[in-house]
Amino acid sequence: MLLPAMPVPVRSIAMQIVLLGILAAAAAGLTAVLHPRQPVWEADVLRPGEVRLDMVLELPEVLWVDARTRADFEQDHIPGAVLLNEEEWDTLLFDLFDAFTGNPERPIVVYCDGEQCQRSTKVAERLRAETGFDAIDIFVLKGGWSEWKQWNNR
Amino acid sequence: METVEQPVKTPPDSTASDGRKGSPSAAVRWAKILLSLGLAAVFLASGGAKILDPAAFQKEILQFQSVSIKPAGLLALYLPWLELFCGVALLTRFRLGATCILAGLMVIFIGAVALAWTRGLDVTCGCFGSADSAAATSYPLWIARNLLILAGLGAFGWLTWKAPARARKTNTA
Repeated sequence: MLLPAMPVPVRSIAMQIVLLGILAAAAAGLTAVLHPRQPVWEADVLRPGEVRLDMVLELPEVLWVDARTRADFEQDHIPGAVLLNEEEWDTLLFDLFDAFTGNPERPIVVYCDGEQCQRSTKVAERLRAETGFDAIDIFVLKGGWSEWKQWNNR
Repeated sequence: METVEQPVKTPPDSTASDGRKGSPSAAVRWAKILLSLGLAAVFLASGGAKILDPAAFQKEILQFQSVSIKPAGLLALYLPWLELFCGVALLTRFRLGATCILAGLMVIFIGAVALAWTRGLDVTCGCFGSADSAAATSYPLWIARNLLILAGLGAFGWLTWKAPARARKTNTA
């Protein structure tokens, strides 16, 4: 017997927990096979919309968008980058449009702190959804600011 | 004289799912119903939103810098379904098991948020998928919200566990 020493209610609850856990595992297994938006299993795999720094450096010109906090941006940032984060979205968006007027066809590359931050993804999504920059390539820099600093220190 | 054995009448809700007998008062029954509906709605919304995009949820997990990429991927596939099934189970005979699992998850979530707060990480909650992750970092709000849900689960679990026994005592008095 699986849980012989327990009182009946506790055993019943334990069985419910096991069953719910198994159900969730089965559904997760199906999701792993069938879902189009799979998690990645290797750190160096690019997600949709992501670019590596070496790919960006091959482009003739890009508009860097810094999605970190203002304090981080003011401390240091990629040369020429424009600050645009969700805290100050409405005001900073005008700065982005100003920066864009010089060469409106260059791709945008958004970055945040590092590999695991989400700010750049969110800002890129909002730019695609809210600004009408449909015709422009908007990328997220894989590795973000950390990757840039590491490359600069080589 | 021949005695006819009368069938014992029991209220419809007199037997709990685990066999304990008793009939909770109307107020307790309503509290349980409202709590189960509210909590089920929370976890169905939370699990459902994350199931839509496991890749995004994996990134949310990775922000907390507590697990590496592969465990984060497994959690991104597993946790949303666990929340969803437990949300459904809160409305069924499996409610006590589901309550235990969800309370455990909430304790882990609160711990993860508190840990990220102490480490000064800039994360998005992602508690309700992409809709929630757009919100700015607010550790006190997330912890308060999770504590509220945990309290709701505690109350629901306690009422479900204790009410039949209490009612039995009242009936026999």
